[in-house]
Amino acid sequence: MKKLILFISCLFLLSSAQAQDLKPWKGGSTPPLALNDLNGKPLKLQDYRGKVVMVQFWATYCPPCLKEMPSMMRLQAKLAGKPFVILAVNMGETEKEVKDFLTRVNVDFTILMDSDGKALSAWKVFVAPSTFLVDPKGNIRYVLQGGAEWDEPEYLQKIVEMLP
Amino acid sequence: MSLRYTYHYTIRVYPMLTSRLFTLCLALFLGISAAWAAPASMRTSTGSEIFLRTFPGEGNTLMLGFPCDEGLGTEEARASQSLARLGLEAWLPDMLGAHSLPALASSMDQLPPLEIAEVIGQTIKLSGKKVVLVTTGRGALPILQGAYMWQNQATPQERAALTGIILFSPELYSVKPAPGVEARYHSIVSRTSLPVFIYQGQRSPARWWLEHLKVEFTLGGSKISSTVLPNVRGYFYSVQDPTEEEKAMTERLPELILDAIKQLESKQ
Repeated sequence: MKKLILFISCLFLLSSAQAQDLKPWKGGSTPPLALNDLNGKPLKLQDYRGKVVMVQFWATYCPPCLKEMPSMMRLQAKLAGKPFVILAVNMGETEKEVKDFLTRVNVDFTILMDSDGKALSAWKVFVAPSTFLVDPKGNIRYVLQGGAEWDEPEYLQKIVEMLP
Repeated sequence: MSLRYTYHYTIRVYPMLTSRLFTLCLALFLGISAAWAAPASMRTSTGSEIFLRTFPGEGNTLMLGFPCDEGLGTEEARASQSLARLGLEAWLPDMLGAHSLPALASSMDQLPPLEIAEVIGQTIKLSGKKVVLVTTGRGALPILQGAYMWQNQATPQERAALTGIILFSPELYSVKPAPGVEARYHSIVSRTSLPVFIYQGQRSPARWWLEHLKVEFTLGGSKISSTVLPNVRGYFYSVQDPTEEEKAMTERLPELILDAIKQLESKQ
């Protein structure tokens, strides 16, 4: 019985520790985000008003970034048909590096190229991955530094609560 | 005939032998002197005994390296051997071992700056050479603190013996930076007046914050320069899964250190 209580306590601690990782945003107004996608098409964060946007800063050399990408795909699938979009901002790598990476890893969300690091400076990103959840009005609501399993209930619930 | 042979042998060969013997004795003497100059350990006023790996070199400059992440500093030791062959003496104090700390980057946070200051002071006194400090990542904070502490009690003549510091991918935030929040650097950055050279791997988010860090260093009067190393991560020489580019860059460590020393010397 004691072992069972200890196990449940551990599970609770683990889940609450993970939920704590998603922190409410306290950084003020949303910085600008206007970048080209991998095909050279210019995109702006404002284009996605009315949707919940997950802005993830990532790099091909960052193992936690790669580890969390399948869970982002599953999250996208779980929210299919809902006003939710993922923008994965690559941190200053070349088009070739990113395209080579995409031949090995299957992702179909939008990749934006922050070639000169201006976006990551404006968003004050120090660690890869860093992820921001933006509400339909364009305000950042939550932030997470480091990798996560994005389709887990804690994260899914927070995102669903933000949907219009 | 036999006598003549002996005579010629004595006249021509014996002086050559004595000359060689003299050279050998001189070399042995110099070798012993060098061994004396490079101690096996140092004692600090805090009671710690810090063991050193030393790589004697003939030049007037000594690299005092503080290995960080792996603790053992395998690649630093290899680079030190190469540098010593090129004339740059290298001493690697085992600061983590002196405190029985695990070979982890985070252990560097626990190093007492006073001991670093004393190691710098003893190295300058014992070697009589110009000293350049080298460290990585989280080692930057205690080493800069120790250098600052030492500078404050050193004479101007002693201070001139400390050429500067080379930092590989330094981590100098006062608190772990959070996304969206302005990063704050430890106050030692803006108090440092030593010439500083930073190597930062291109494949690291820190690359984008290098200019901010450099501006912070200039506040204390430090003359700072840097190089972004292409196609490598921050800790390229201690990663578990090095790429071909990272292996090649690791081979270039001695060259990188020598280049940085030249830059630091030009700023003194």
